[in-house]
Amino acid sequence: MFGIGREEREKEWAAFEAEALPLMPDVFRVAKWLTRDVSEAEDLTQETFAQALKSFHRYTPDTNCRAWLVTILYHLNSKRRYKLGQLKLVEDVEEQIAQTVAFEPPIPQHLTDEEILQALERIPKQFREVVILTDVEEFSYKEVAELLQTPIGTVMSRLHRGRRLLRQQLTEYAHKFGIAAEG
Amino acid sequence: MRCQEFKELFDSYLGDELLIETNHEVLRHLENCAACRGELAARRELRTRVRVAVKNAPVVQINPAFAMRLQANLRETALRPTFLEKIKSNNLFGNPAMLGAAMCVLLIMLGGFFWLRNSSVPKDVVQSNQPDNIALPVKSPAETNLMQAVHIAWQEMTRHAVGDHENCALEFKLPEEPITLSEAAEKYGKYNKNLDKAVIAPLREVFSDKDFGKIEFLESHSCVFDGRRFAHVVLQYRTRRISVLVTDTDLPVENENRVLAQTSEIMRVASFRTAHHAVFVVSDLSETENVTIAKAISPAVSRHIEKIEKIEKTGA
Repeated sequence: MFGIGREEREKEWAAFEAEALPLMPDVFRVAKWLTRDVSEAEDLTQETFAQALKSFHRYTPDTNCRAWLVTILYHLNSKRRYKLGQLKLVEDVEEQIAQTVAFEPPIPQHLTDEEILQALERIPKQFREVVILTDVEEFSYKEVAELLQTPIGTVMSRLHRGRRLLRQQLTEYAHKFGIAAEG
Repeated sequence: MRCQEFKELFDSYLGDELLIETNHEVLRHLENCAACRGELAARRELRTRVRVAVKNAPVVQINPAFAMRLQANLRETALRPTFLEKIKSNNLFGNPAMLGAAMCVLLIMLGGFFWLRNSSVPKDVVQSNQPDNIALPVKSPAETNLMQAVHIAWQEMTRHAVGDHENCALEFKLPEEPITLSEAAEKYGKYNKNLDKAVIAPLREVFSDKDFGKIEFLESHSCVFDGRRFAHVVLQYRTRRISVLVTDTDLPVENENRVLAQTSEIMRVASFRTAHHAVFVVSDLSETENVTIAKAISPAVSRHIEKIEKIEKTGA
């Protein structure tokens, strides 16, 4: 009568184990990109799954569990940032950058994964975040807009600029180390 | 459309975000434009390479030991027996010695809680101008017993409020179908009528200008949990349910309209009293958030109920 019985709890755990737990590496990966620190990313992953377990009865089975978990993660992360007094970047950074990225350089060949990661690290956080959420994690524009609580148009322009910046970084890197560009 | 305009669509094309018609336009253009085909291939390649690089990067791989530990902790939390199950499994009620010991512990805990409740004021919860070191008035044993009985009854009512929230707002498992507040106003007290409006109006006022997120109204009705009837207003804050529950009571009132916070293992409960009613706000929000909601609705809901109590008193 007060709370749910053991059988029901076991059933709910089995569903959670099947749907949510396999996504732990994905959730950690997003957490790591967000926090840039292993122990913070582990804390955030742990909080996300604890919260998800608590609220699992509200999740509709066989819908997008990954998007649901990442939404919880973003919500918890913004709470943490608020507590730590971390503020968002000023928006006009986007405009400044947009003006400096007027061309799309060809993509250099023969770059290693490590070099691509370094280039990704060098682009501003708000663009990198959108590139990772759409190109790596394969969320739709709508899902990214909901996660970041930003209009869909902003997601699209950040993605466009983020990809351009990335190409620029990769080209600079290639020039620096004499890697041939094709294009 | 010129090549430059098509290039602007390439990001959305790759993300499969274009309308079917626009997609066809892009495809038609690509058939005849080698430069754009090259550009699109380059963008696709960049996208793939970034995905592969990030997903394979050792720095973003979860530590298997951490993953296993977290999974074990979650499993333990998910399958942990409830307090009542623990009691049942220990056959507490069938063993007089164990039952006696449990009762003693319970009485000591209740006594302690009751003493604390009277001697200290929860910070951020109760508006009080009492000095910090207040001397406790000496009470006779009869008074103490009465207070303990009141406290036990209050705890029982709180348990009912939490039970109603869990079995009605979170997942409907009540044996009796709820009735509308208008119907309840006719049968069980006029305060039921428009109670939902008294709850929602102050929330809109308090939270609309703040970045507190959206509080949505889900439904209102009158329902019964374990023999106790509640006027029940169900709200939602983001994905979390909040219950505002009002029930009749003739337990003595210590401080009318004073918001008290109680925390059960899972749920947060904030409550306040009028002369003949108790109001509970139950949710799994943080204690601060739950109390903020209770404080926000307390003046309007108390006014709404007290108006009816006054009419009923003079009418009688």
